[in-house]
Amino acid sequence: MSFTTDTGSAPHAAAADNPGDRTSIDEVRQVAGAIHQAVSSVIEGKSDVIRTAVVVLLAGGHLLLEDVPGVGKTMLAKALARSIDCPMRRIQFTPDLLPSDVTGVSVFNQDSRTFEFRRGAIFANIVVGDEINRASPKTQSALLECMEEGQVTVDGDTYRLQAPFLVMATQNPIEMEGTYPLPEAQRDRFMTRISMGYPTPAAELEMLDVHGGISPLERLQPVTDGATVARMAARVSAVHASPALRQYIVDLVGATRGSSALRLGASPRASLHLLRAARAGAALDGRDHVIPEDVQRLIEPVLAHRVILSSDNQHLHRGVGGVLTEIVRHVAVPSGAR
Amino acid sequence: MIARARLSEAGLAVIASIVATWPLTTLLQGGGWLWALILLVVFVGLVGAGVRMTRASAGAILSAQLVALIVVVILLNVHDHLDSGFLQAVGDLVRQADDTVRESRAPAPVTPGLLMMLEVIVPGLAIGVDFLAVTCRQPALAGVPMMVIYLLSTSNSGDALNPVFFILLAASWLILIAHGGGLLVRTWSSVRARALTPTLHEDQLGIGGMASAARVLGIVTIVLALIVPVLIPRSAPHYFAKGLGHGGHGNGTGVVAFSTTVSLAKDLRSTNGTPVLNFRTSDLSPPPLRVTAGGTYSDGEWSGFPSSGNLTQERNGAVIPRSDGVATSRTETTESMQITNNTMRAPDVPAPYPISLGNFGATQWGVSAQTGQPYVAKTVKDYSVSYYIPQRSAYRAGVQVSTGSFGNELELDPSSAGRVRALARKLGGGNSFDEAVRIQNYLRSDLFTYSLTLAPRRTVDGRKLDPLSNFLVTRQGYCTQFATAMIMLARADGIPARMALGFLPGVPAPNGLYTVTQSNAHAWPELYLDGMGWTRFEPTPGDRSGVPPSYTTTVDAGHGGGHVPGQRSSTTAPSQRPSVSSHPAPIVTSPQHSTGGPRYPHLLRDLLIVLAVLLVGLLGALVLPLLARRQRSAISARLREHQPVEAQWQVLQTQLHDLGIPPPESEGSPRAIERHYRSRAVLPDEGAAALHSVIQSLEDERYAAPGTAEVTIDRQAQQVLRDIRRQQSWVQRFGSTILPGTGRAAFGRGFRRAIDWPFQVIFRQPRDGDR
Repeated sequence: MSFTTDTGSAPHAAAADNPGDRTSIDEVRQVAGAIHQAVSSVIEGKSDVIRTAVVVLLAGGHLLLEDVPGVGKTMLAKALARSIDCPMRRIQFTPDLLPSDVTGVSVFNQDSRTFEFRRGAIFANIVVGDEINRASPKTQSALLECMEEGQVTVDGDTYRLQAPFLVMATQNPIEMEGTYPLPEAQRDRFMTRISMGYPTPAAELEMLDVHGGISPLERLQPVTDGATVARMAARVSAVHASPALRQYIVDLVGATRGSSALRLGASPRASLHLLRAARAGAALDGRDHVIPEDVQRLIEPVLAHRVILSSDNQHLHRGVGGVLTEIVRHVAVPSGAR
Repeated sequence: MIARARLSEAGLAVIASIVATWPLTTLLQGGGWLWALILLVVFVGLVGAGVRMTRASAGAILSAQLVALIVVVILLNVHDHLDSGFLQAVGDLVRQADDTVRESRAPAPVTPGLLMMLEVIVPGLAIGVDFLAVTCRQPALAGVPMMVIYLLSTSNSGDALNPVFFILLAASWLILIAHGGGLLVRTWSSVRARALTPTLHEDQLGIGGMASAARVLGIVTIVLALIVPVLIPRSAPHYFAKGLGHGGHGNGTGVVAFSTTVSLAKDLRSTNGTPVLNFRTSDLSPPPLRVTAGGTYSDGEWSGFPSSGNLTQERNGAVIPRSDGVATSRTETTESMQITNNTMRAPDVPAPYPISLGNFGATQWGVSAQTGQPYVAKTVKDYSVSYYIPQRSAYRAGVQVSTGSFGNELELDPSSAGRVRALARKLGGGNSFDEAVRIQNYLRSDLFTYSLTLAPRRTVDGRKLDPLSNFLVTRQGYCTQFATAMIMLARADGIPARMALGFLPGVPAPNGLYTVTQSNAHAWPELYLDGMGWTRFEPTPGDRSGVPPSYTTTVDAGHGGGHVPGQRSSTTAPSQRPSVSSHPAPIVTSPQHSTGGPRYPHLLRDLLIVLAVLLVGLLGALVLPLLARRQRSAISARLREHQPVEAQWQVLQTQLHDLGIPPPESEGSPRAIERHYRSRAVLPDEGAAALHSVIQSLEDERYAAPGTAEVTIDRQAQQVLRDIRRQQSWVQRFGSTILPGTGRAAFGRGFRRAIDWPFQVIFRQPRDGDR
């Protein structure tokens, strides 16, 4: 017997059919700005990180946060979830975490004598996978399948996940014992990877003042709801990307494959993610078309975790960021002149 | 700020330039000029460092250095003539430098003109070193100007240059390169390597750029090497060109002894810059100072010159009768000479011949009855003499006044007698004076080459030629050979002749003081002419001996002698070689010694060349705007239909380029393009707003959904152009009208392609686009 998912997804699906009619780009910009502001009231001085998170949210991607503990990764996820008034679940990945803990499990109900599906932690709009590299590869892949498909299949039954669906996985960059680093193929499924970075001294000082008393998260009022966000995500996917711009994305991604500084270039999925993210970025600026600056701004968060530096010392010290900056500087922007 | 000055590199460049200049000390007398040059080199280096601090472009730095150098050189050399006669003064100095180079041999005296030329050339090349090594950071290329300075020295000193000069120069060059390399390595840690993707940009920034620069440089060098010698008129041979000068070694000795026994070659070779004496005279062309005369010739060498021997005791200030019996009269012209710092060892004392009066202070002195040469009992430092100026009018054919008889002075060298007699017969004819002049002019003609290196002995009919015959056949030698040949030819004609040794007067310093050095040692013939007595002739070519005695070249007014002045001028055409056998006029002046002739015979041709260059420039000024317009309309036509804004934008971009604002090097996004133009052009608010609007329209057309973009940007484009033009000076506007940037760029591309084409064919290099 099947068990359908939450009813909340039904109106969203309807909105996705004809998004351009009801939602204007201006509305997207306003709502995204409101989310940004709400989250900013909790996370001090991390405007870029918050913007990227909002971009990923609107582009329908997933976020990989790579940073040391205690810089506010979970706080970012919580604030984002609260500001869009969506349920948020947090999974602490441990080596003994099972796939069924993530997806859910069918249990036999003695009373009704049927199998009943108990939903796992993945059934939420925003899922925070803490220290994802601590879980076994099996569990990791269970999560990643859900991320990619937007649905859960248990015992032959498929359950759709509700939109918006955003996974924010965190991982610790410092190598530790008992971790299973995400393979390249799985990292590729995250739209962006960002690191929070330490706050500036001023921001940290203000944080001490604010967080000293009642948590600002408690005071955070939702600025929109999940349905609106899903509608906006549909609108974002309709942002115009001209042939010249698509060519630019292909050129950029192609340049990472040809570069001698990189051992592994970016995948075609990276091109797709870059285009989606760029659309969301354009919409955030209230533009109904993508311009090269949108792409340039997002190329590092979108591509950095997908490419591998060649082991040549000369390139290693520049870092992936340096290499990508070089690529942006040297790939000509197609003018579209025919 | 200071770092931009690149003081360490500039310092090394200055040192390298000075090291390259140092070998010039072997070519020139004195040392003051070297300090002047060093100061100027340091000065231009400092100017370069100062301008570099202001973030100026490479061209601006170079121009500033050149302007500073020119100003300083003008202030140093012709500051008296800044108001009027400036060009005249510069011309005089250049002419003086030319004369110095032409007439002196190393070590040459540094005349003001030569100093000015050095002050232009050496610091000018130092600017080249500084520009390449420091401003452009290509220290390897700086080797070229350094080598030019160095070659100035090597090519003009006949001797091999001391290797230390080269070693030091090479070392300073290598240090310069190593320093530049070190700086480059140090920047690696802080600068990201430029080329990342291997194909696209390495060629613009790295090896490819360097290679094409070297390619252009090489081609330009070859083309110049072919063109320049054709264009520059060949001037009369002088020692800088022929490389016959000799560097001295500068080891001063207190007393100068004059070797009269050998062939003079040793004296000439070992001579150095040590002064023998100084003198002043009012004579415009002072004769050589003779030390001895006579001698006997044997197998290429003269020996047996008379020593003081039989002397007449003379008193200071008393008129000395001519030793050769020529009657002296009051009307005879005399000139006087005040000698100072004489170092010639007694009893020899250099003096012009024939001496008429002498003042040797308290020292006992006398005149040799045989040669008319004064001798002193002990070395006299300062003395004065007067001497007769021989007059052509004194010549009386057939009137022999000598009391003595000529034995030795008519004796021919037996081994060469046949050849000499045959040649003398060819040159002979007329009276003895005409014969002598003809012999002199024959030897001075450009059939003969002055060289301290004798040609190897030729073998004729199985026998080695004797030295004199060898000289007459190979026509290469120095003053001894020329004098010997003239003596023997004269003797063959029955004119008594003898050898005279002494010193050439050299070139006066600006204050009129002549300095005679050991390198001025000279030999010349004296011929006994009826009525004139022993008379000096000058068969040695002009690049060594200067002008011949005036009485052998000019026609005396009082003496007809059968010479028509018009004949002379007809035979002085520059290219005409004096024809020995058929020449009707006996008096021929060799072209390079005539002072009154046209100095610049190629002036007309030079003017034509300049005109041709100007014409080509004018054509360029017409062609370039046309090229620019064509390019613009081509772009516009191609795009107008589907992308109107793009078309208008491309046209605007070329118009901006024409105004001197080039497009960004790599095609960027519209906003990047806007940033580029905002950083390059000064725009007022309206202009900036118009530019922003243009860029916005462009961006919309390129990236927005079709149908949403503006269709025309004409108004805004006109606003941008108007505002930019308004900000420019009239010079810039004029320049962009006749030399529009796109036209220049198109021209440059075509030129580069034309240059590249042969290389493309030969090497079939993969081009950028291939990957």
